[in-house]
Amino acid sequence: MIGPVIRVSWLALVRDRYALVLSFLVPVAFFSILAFVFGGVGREGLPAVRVAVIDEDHTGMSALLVKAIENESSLAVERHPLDATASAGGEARRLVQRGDVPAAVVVPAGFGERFARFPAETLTVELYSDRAADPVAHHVVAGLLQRALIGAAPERLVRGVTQWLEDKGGTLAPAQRELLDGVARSAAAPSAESGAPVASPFRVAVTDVQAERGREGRNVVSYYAAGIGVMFLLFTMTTATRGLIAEEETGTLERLLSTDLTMGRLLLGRWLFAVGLGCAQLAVMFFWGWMAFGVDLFGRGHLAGVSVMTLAAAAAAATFGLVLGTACRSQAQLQGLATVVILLMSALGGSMVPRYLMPEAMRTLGLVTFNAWAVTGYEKVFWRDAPLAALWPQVAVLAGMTAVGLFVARRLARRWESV
Amino acid sequence: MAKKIGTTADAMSVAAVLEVRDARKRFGDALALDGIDLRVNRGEWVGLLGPNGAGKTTLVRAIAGRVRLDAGWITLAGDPSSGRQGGRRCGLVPQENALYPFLTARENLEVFGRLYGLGGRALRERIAWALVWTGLADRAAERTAGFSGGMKRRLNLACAVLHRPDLVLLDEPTTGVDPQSRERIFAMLAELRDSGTSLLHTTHQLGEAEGACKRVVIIDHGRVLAEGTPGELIERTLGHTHGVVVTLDRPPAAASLPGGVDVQGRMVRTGIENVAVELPRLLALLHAAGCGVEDVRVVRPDLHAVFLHLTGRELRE
Repeated sequence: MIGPVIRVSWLALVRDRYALVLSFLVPVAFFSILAFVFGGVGREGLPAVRVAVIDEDHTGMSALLVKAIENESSLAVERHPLDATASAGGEARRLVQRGDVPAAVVVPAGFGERFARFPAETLTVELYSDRAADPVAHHVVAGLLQRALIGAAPERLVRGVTQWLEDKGGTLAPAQRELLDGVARSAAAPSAESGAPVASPFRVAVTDVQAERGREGRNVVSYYAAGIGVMFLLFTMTTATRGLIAEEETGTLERLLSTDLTMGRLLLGRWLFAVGLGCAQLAVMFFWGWMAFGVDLFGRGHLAGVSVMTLAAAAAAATFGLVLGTACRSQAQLQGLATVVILLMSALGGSMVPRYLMPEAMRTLGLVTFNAWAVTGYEKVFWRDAPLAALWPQVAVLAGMTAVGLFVARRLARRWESV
Repeated sequence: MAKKIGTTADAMSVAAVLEVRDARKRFGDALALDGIDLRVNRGEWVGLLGPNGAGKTTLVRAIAGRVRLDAGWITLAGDPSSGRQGGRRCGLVPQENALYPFLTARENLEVFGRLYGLGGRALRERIAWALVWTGLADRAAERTAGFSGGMKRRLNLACAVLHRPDLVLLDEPTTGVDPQSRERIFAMLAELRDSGTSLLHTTHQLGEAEGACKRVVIIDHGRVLAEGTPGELIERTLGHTHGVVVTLDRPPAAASLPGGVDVQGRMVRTGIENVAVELPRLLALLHAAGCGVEDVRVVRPDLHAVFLHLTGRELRE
């Protein structure tokens, strides 16, 4: 007796292409995306970490250090010139904070002089990073800096040690021997964390630009508020515009279009409502994030940035819903297609896994998605404290998507008009 | 067989609300309308009949401005049907219940009233009228999702007439409702007609059309086959012939019966003009052939017979 039931279920599945895609292709696609992000599949080792280097010292010795850093194959070094009026530390902070690079190194003024007096004086370089944005880069750069310090001019280091010993005079006493051994130990096994043990002459002074501003952790929360908000925005928009197909299926569309209402006005009405709904949905999301998780909604310039991004994101998402609503022939088709497209866009676009954790190629691929632009815009506001003007690329792309989408939806809706 | 039968003469003397002239429309290889002429006068209830695929829906959609004709023209009270004024002059009652199930009866009326250009006091008055007219005044605040089929049908109709259109296009307005609801809907339509509204009523319920419509238009293959009052159509198409169906206790020998008599097993069918004279003669013949008569039915010619006569008996799918 259960045979016919199983047969009907089987036929229902194989004749519903969206159910098939959801059952078999989407899980595989998701797995593949996450494997690329977290498993390193398809990569030849870890990608080089981008690091900006600012040489404030401008001596032969600092040039040797920069060269040594550049020789590290795990680092992609971008030399950053410094204005005479600017502070190197401030510039490094700004670069990291703005998200231009995950880490910035400053070779401070006086570095060359201290090197000449090595090991009588501690050699310090400054590392600025955003641990939350890229926890890997932080550790990699700190470790490699230690190595570069040693490898920059080893003969000078040896000469310095000899000089130092001679200055101290005579043969090595046990205490002198112990001190030298300490230097050797710390040079051989440098600490990546705070610079060095007490006795080490090499020090990497690390600054986490977000922790410094008292935002440790909260930025990740704000990222997910944006990422999840944007993903569900797409689902909501699809539901909001599903009414078009429902109206067609019930004959209401035929009646509507026999009134004074034109197709253009009908679409515009649906779109405007969806935009308003999207704005409200994102506002609720961020307000809840502010209340419950300390998302910095009311920080300097944040409210204006969030407002602009929310409007742009809601407009683009509403258009996405409208395109699907006008393209699909039935509500079941819309639901299946929307689920597949939204989940894939969200995975690629950074709504599920932060884009900064993705390989470069996947980040580039993600730029075709609505999510990537919206999430990046919010990231600029909450994370980078970017001014309103800095949001123009994201707003422009979302506005472009909106314009193209509205055009496409209008064309698709012609099938419902007079024939 | 598809022969156009003339129009009712007196119809032309009254002001036309709807005029369709030489309407032609082709969808790819399919010719949906092939030069249709149609006229509906003020306060007239016209039935539009035709088998599936005859062109009824295309014609109705063209009148509602939803289909652009390849040739010919349509006017509603003198205005082109596709224009804004033309659109307001007609109200479309789709076959489906074109309502928003999540809205109340009053809210549905408000939405469609506004889309037809009503507002303010005029809209409120028309909604109040519609709720009384449909018998839904005490259910006005309920969502229509919970309404019975008949209630939805009545509201479906009301939404199309809020703006007092000159012409109401009815597409199977009683599909799926019980006889009581059908009666109520017909009473509502009669009220509309009496108030001067014209009705173009598309239906497969030929009995409905015969009883309610002053004039009937039968179309097929995109052309008008016949037009007139039901009585005129019956007389022109079938004359005064009555159908006779006799059920016998055994199959008769075909040779014992005259030509024009159709035998199917124990059933004998034929057409007779003078029942009083020809029926006893037929029964005597059957008796002489050794058959006992179990049942006799005399069927008055009706629109159903006319319809089948004009459009054929083959299935249209």
